[in-house]
Amino acid sequence: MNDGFNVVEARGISKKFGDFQALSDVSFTIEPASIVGLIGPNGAGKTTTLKAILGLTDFDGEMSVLGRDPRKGRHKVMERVCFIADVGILPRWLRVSDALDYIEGVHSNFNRAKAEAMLADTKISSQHKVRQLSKGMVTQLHLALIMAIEVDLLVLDEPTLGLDILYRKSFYEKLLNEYFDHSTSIVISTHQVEEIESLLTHLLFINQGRIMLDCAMDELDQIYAEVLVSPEQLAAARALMPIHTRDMLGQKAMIFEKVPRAELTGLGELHTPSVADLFVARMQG
Amino acid sequence: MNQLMVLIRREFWENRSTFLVLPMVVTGFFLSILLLVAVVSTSDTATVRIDVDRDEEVQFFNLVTGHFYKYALQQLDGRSMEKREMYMNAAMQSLSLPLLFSLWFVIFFYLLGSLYHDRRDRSILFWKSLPVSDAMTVLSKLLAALIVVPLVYLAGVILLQLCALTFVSLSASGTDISVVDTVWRPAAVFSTWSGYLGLLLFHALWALPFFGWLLFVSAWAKSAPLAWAVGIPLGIKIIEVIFTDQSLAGDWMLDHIIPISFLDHHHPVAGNASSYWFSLQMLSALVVGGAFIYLAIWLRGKADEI
Repeated sequence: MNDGFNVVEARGISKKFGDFQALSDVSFTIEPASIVGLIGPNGAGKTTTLKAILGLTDFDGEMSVLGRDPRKGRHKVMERVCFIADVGILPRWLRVSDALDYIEGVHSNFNRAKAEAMLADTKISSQHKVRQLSKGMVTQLHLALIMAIEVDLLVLDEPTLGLDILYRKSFYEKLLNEYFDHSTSIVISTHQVEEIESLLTHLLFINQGRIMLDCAMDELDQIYAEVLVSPEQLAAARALMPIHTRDMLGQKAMIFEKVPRAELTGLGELHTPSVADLFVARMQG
Repeated sequence: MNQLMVLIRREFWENRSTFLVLPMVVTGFFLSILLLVAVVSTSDTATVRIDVDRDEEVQFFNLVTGHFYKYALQQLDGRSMEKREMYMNAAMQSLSLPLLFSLWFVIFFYLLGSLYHDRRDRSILFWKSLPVSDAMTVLSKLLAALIVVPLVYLAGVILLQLCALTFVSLSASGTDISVVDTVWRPAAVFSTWSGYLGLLLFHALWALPFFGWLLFVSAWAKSAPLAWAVGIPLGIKIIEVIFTDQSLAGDWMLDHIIPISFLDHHHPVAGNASSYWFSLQMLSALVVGGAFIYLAIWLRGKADEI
């Protein structure tokens, strides 16, 4: 459905809230059939970035979502894009059966039977109102509604925030097993890196409104390397300009960027850094 | 069109208590009074007593008239057709007032909250994540407030009036009074009801600046929409009176909130409005109201959680 162009093209996005620069000159691309992790600490600009994609906030810069400017035709963009925010954006008075009726009425790509089948696996009844559901059940409901809509892009803003581990696990399992079919792209924002690390095809680190890292997961090992440097090699390792150094059981773990692995092999034990370690390196560096 | 229907249904889900329950309660309350009067006043002199202190019975009111509906019937029977029409019109309108009065407040608070509450409880992020345009959203709220909800309240009015007329008609049994001539023809139910519809449509357009203003404040205010909605027009009025010694803007605003000048008990309800349909003032109302609605749609497009 993407006709070859990228799902999202963001060029020079900036956004100010009063004196606070929420985003400054943010550019990135989301390719078809990718799962992008937008990772950053609280207040880094994750939600603002996602809202910009969805046309839910105004901003400066160029944004194209499925070939459209979301500021001009949000409702057109939303025919091919779905959104789940952290818990609590479903109105408390909404009845489950009414939610199904509503989305069926306004969305041409909604498969009601699919949503009902997913809800049948949960403890949610069609007569429940959102206010009667627990946090985890509200997320289950929202996921069931959204997963029954056929779209090109799914935007998830801290979707599992405040949920217990069982709900978090099943959320990502459902998402990956039942939803992701390699024709849909997904953007997930989170500050809990470990949880989604294995899902991702792309990484976007963001801090203080700036993109700190933009990398495909399968290029990670070509660009970044972590070396457990033995004490006698310390000087040689420092000369190669590690982007981050931390103490680890009396040794130094150093992360290098764009240093050929051949130059690093002699320094100590070599491997690809975990996303969490890379994140820390990028945020502190 | 289908989408618009779903959006209007959505408004009824959210506002069930004021759109459906309240008119049913008000209608039910007055229906039971009508019924109570019919039951209580079947004896020739009925006294309604309430027991205040257990030992002391206080007479609440005394229906010396005997059979209330029969009394009303006899009063009508003895009058000219013109008088009958006048009394019937007054009675019909009195029955409609409690519902229409509630309706005004329901619409007022509904419109004032319609583009505000979902920004407060963040559900705007859900509504805006669906393929519904901002214009359609605002339009659905306006149509619910100005057409659909008034029709619900009007149904209550019609039910009340029908019941009252039926009770009066029933009391004619055993007499040779013609119910058609004394009750139904002077009541002119169909022209009264179509008059309500006309007045409803007229008021929707005539008071469009007021309704549009409420929508605008609802979409714009970051807190206390009621204070803004009331405070700003009041401020304009005060400033105008102090500095110009006139009240042109103030009168214009008041005239387009509740057109009291049209309420005339001696004529069919819609009669007075007809001359205003194609007036300059109506045109000004449409322009100002339309501008507010346009601004509300524009603000809704920019709107985020607050």
